[in-house]
Amino acid sequence: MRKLLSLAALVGMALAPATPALAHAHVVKSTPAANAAIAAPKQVSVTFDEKLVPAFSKLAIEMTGMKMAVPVKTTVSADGKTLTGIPQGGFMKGSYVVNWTAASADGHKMKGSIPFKIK
Amino acid sequence: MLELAAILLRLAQYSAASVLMGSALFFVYALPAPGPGSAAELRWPKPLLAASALLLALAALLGLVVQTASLADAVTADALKAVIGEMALGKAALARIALALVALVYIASVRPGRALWLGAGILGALACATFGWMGHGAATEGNGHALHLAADVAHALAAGLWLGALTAFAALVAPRRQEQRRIEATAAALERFSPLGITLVLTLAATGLVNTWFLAGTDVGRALHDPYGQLLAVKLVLFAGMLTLAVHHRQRSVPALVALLNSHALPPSGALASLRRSLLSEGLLGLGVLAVVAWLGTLAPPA
Repeated sequence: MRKLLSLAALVGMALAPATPALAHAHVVKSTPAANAAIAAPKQVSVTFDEKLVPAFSKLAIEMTGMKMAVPVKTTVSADGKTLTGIPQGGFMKGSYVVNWTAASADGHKMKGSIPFKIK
Repeated sequence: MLELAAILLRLAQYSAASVLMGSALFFVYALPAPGPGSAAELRWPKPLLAASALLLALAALLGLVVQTASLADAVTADALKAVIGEMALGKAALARIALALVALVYIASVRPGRALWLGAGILGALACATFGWMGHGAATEGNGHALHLAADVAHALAAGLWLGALTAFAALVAPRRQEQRRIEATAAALERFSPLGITLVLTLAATGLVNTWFLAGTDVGRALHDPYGQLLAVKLVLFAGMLTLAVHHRQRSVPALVALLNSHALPPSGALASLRRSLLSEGLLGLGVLAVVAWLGTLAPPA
């Protein structure tokens, strides 16, 4: 009995979920980098450590505090890990933020933002 | 709100698929095929399997809609098409819905007997296997992909077989007044299940280890600082409770029941009542494990 119980305890310790843990992609690189001060960018990009689902992943650019969006055309790279946005409008001097939305293959959607400045 | 709905729908799918596969196959391997003590003689097996298939189909369909709602801003035909077309979990949900509906039609049209149990069990097993594509198993990239996926599928199948058998046992011991031959068939089924039970526990442990390694790493101290690791620890405690009860059944309750039956003493109602209580407790702990797994799916693993 005791032997069985200790085996049970050992086995129990080893047990883990088989099911839908979510990967949650992490940002590995962005252009511009967070808090960078740059000239008006031709394109912005955010690279993740996992493949994204293109249909539910996108970038948006907004002027901080102004609720003024710069229209962006988003594409996903061939390897599925990089979101690239091409701004469709001009920039003024000031503070902006890239808001990204990324869905990973396990079905989770994450959001984040990368602030930058136009000099 | 959406997250709570996702957790509950996932719990409903796990439970329903476990019963569809595990209880149906239990009627095949643990109970006599025809005659006294067989599942065909009982009233509840067919409705139980039909209800499980229906619940699985509905929960999988609603789960797909909730998943789409959490990914897209609105549930549109295009968004649903993208979830099914671009994501493994969408295809898996679609397969699960189809399998559950086929199972429902099959159960409704076949008479209680081996063909019904076996057919429903196989369809249920396929539905359980699709859980492997529901989450992280399918999302692991590179060399580990096949191993993690295989471990996920094996884990879901072993868990479903155990919980389905548990449901059947609980239903078998539920009636307070039972004929002697029924009790004998239940006692024989409990003895027959024992080696399979051990195999299932070992499978769960081995595949669970593979999954922990992929999701949480090997640093236990670090993992326990993370909500995912803490919830995982809760799952292990619940599982240990189930295992303790299972060992108790194997070592004490079942031999006591068999001894009483062999001695032809008074009806073994005391032994049966004790078994009823502990099987019910084991079942509730099992439901707790499934609820924790459904919840874990919404958290980020540490690794």
